[in-house]
Amino acid sequence: MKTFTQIKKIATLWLYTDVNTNNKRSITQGGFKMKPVRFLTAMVVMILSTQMVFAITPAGTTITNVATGTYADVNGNDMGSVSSDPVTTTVSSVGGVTLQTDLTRL
Amino acid sequence: MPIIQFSKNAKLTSRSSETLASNVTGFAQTWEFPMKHRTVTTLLLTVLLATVGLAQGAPQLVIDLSEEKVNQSTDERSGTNDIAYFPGDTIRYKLQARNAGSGIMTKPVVTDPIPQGVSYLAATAKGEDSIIEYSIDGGVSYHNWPVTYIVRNAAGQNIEVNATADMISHIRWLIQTELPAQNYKNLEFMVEVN
Repeated sequence: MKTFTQIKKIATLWLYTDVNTNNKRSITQGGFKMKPVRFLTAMVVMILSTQMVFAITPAGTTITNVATGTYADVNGNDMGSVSSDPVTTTVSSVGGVTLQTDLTRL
Repeated sequence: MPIIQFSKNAKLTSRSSETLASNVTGFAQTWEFPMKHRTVTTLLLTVLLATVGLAQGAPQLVIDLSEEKVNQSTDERSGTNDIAYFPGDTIRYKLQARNAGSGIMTKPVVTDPIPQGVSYLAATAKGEDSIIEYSIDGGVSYHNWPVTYIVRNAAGQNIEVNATADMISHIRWLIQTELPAQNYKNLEFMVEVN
């Protein structure tokens, strides 16, 4: 349902914008006060950012590595398999970032 | 009783005591053993082989695994700060395949699954005297680099595509030389924290 709403908004932007006297698009009916290209760019950036956030390994995650090996004796007899001791690494938390209003543009 | 007879003028022979007593003339030295020389030879060979076998012993593979952060900060390098791992950091895993036994090791193979939370970095796997193979299917099959897989394009044709480094699930080193006792081979690869 949310996706349908977003599609409807995007369609509204494309369908109900018009070229004004300054040769720039402006919304004539409802929707956002944002240019379609800028809006779409923002959407793409937002989606990609969301995917990146999901791909990042969370802080506190333990990365464990264990190697295994097989070998034979001089006569070619299989001597079974062995494993290394595990090596673990813990992912630290990234320092927080505070977003503030850009006062220089006020 | 059977004997073995050694002399200056005669070849090694095996005869009975009675035969020897009736035929000995002009021997400077004579040693007698109560068994045939073939039996002695067999016994000596058996002892020799057993000795070699005991000295040879069995091989034993030990894999020493360690890791290090590649992109350490100055403070981390100097020990001022503890080493911390963040997404984007690079880790080098070092493996040493060692023969801790007393016999010669053959066909050593070392396999390392890429841990969860990291991705393999292309062209970073190395290994002494090793053929390196990669898997993109969880270790079911291994291939030389580049690993390829088949996809169907929009036209319905099957095309071969090169796998990317982050698709690698396992790395395998096939060590091509025998590994004598107490010898080892160094292997390594690098990953990036996701």
